[in-house]
Amino acid sequence: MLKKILHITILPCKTITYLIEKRISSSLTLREKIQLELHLIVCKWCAVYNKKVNAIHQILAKLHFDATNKIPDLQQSDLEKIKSEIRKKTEKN
Amino acid sequence: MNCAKNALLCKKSRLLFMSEFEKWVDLYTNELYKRAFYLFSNKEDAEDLVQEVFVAAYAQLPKFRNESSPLTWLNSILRNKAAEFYRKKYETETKIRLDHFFNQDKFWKQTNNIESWTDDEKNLLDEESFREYLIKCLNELPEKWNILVKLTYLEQKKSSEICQETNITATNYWKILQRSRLQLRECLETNWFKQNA
Repeated sequence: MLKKILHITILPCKTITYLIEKRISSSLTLREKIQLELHLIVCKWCAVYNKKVNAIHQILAKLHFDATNKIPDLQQSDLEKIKSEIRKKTEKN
Repeated sequence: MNCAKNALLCKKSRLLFMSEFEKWVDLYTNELYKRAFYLFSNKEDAEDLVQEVFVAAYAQLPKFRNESSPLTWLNSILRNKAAEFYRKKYETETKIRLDHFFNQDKFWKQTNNIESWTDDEKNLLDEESFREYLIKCLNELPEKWNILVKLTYLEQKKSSEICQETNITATNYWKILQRSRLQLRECLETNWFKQNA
């Protein structure tokens, strides 16, 4: 019951997960900041979610080097095909 | 190129310019293709994108300054073109539903996943299998979301820039990130952490 009251007064969890994204990629208003911080203090589910989101965020930022490295190289025939297309398209100019 | 004054010099510099461009095509096509494939998870779209990048680079060559490496420059064109591709493909806005995760009171439906993943999240960075699962989970997101997530992280651009390039509103952008992140968390929890528990 207490849980419910808290969620009504300092924003529902659904909104909090949205504010977490907003904070990462942009910035929050002062009001939002306070609501988020208070919510994270009282709600263990969102608090742990917030930690996990931050972990995913940091790892994603470094991930694409890894991810692109794992992609197989272009086959020679496809490479030649692309090159000749580029040549065709640029020679016109 | 102003060829009126010195035709010979002009011809020479044009040849130089062409051979330089050819060199770039030789050197960077494969690398750019891999990046494009990472974004689109699809060979045809990736190949098309690489062609577009070089055609655009060719047209913009006078703008290229030697301050950045050719690959850095080509990568930024690639990101730009990818955003354009995304914009055209996903013009219509779709409603993002969260009822898989939240009940009518907007409270978590699943309340049993409260353990932390590790004591220190930094350790996850070095965990090869974690990164592999993250890529796998990322690719399981619907294309409309996973491309946007990848674009976001590819070059650490501000969200305002991403929104402008892809022509989506900031609110919708955060909602897509929110929905994607909820799903990523769930996917990682069911795959990686269950196995390593």
